[in-house]
Amino acid sequence: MRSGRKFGWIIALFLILIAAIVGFNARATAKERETALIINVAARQRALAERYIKDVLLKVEGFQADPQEDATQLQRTALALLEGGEVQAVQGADATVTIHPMKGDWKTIAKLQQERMLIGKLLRTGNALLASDRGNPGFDQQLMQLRIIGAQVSGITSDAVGEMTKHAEVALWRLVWVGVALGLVGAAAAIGMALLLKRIGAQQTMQFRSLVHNSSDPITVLDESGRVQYQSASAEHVLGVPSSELLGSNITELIHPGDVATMAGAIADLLQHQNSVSRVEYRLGRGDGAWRNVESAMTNLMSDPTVRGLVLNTRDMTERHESEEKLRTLQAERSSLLEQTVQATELERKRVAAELHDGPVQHLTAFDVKLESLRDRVAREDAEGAGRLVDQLQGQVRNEISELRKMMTELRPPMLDERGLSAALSEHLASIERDADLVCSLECDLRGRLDPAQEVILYRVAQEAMANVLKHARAKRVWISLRENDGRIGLQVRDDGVGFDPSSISTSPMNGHFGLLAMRERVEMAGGSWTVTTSGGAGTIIRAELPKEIRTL
Amino acid sequence: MNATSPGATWVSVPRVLVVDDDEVLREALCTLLSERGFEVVGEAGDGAQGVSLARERHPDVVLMDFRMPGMDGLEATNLIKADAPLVQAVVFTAYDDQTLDLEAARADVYCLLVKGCSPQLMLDMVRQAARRKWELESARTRSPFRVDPT
Repeated sequence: MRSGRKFGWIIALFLILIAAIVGFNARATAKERETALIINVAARQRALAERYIKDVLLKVEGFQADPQEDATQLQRTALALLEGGEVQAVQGADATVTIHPMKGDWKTIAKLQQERMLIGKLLRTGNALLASDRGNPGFDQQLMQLRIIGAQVSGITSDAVGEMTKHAEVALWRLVWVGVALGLVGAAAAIGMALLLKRIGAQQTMQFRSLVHNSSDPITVLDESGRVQYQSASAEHVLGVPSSELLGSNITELIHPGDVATMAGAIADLLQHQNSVSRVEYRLGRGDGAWRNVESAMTNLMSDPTVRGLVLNTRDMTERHESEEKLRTLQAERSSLLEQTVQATELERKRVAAELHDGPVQHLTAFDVKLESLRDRVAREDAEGAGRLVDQLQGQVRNEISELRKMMTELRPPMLDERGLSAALSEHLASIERDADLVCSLECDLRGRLDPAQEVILYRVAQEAMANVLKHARAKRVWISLRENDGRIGLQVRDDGVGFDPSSISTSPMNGHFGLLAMRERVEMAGGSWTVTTSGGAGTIIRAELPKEIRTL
Repeated sequence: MNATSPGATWVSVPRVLVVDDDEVLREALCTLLSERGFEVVGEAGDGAQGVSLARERHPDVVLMDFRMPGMDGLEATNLIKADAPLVQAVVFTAYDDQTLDLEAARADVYCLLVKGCSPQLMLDMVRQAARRKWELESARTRSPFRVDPT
């Protein structure tokens, strides 16, 4: 906007300058023409004076002549040259020329005044001669005088014309210089204007080029056969090769073989319709052999003389495609995980039900049966038999209580709520050590209790990791650590077992590693991170990290 | 003593085989049965062992747990009855489930008892099952061509 307004001002000034030059030239030309006429009129005085002398002589000799007419013209012209007025432009013609009073040129004025005075003297001498007789003794003397004065008039007139010519020449030169100067100014203005226009044009071109060249989406111009005529620099980001290398290549050489037909069809359709736009999705080959998913908006600008091609505005959709794919995978993973969670919950319920069936229900039924036996012994007054049975029953009831406590602890360790994560883990490890041939060590440098939700997550991760160690690792030792660092709580479970192939868990939760994936999901949902490091024969390290600040889900 | 001899049917001692995977319960059942005048001819910890003992010891009644590792109670009952169709089975289950009744009926189980019922009921059922077996046996002995209406 600002450059447009500036440009308008410059154009206006340029036009004013051009008008001034043309006006000045017109006025100066008119003035020069008038000066030339005046010089002509002034020069004619000399001829008039000579004709007057000739007419006087003719009249004196008795011939037909009218010196008076010449005298009148001489006087009128002399007056007009000095004070202004209208005189005949050419001797004997009707055309007149208006002479403006002479001003400024004092030398010419002085000459013209002198001429007028001499003309007066000439006319007076002429009149005296006309009045005298040819035979008069002073006649020749008077005639001589007339000729002398005539020569003087002629001389002064020449001087005046000379002065006038000189003055006109000076004025003409001045005019020429002014004209040259104005011409130079005009030329300079025109050059300036041209440069300015060029600069503005170049600036706009640069601006446009920069916009096109630096647009994040590559812009390509193709000819009718699909050959690259222009390629913006941003293509390098997408394709990994300088855009200059693409010039002259056919678009079909750059795209995936599976998409060539689609692209060729789209180009053919587009060429049928001027100024039409179509969109096409395809894969572009990178320099390194990988493919990028792109979408091009193609415009047919064949009829535009500044383009004469198909313009492709291409957007790299690879990351979007990848994100969508990742999202789909995540959704599938999550949905699968949800299904597995539901299944796991059901399995857990089934396990609890089976434990209740196999344990408490059988044993309580047995107690019931034994109490029936006890009733018999009491009725028989078999105190010894009854006492034995009571002892047996008491032992079995205590055993049952212990079993139920174990089951309860597995479901939800009371220690976790009562004394926190470290104590609950310590109890869990002690119970594992009692039942299995495994040495466990626990290191904990947590400062105080964590949020109960975090304690449960980390406990379950450790519990699952330990279950895996017992089931699969064939380990001799397990090291568990709980640390707090930079506002994050880290749990690490490391064993010296056989390890496993980590690639088997990376694909999907369907591969039978539900426990590991459930751990990861549980930790990630709480805003933490989870990793497993393992390889065949090198043991396994499971790390879970949670932010100390609680994330609300 | 000999349950199979005619005329001695109602005073004979029922011969019982106890099959249960829970040792505590099995031992309690055997003790109570013995104390109440039943003859416990054997005890087995799973279905397969139960089938094998039944072939060997010829019980009148098999007191069988329903849910056991490996062969379950109904399958074992089917196998036992395939060898000795008159042997009666009293099946003991922790599940109070209507669908089990159907399965039990199909396996020709004498009765299905839910664990938690009174031990006396269990003893009565075992006794009745033994009687049933004897009735069937005596009917067969009296006339191989007569169909017993009971």
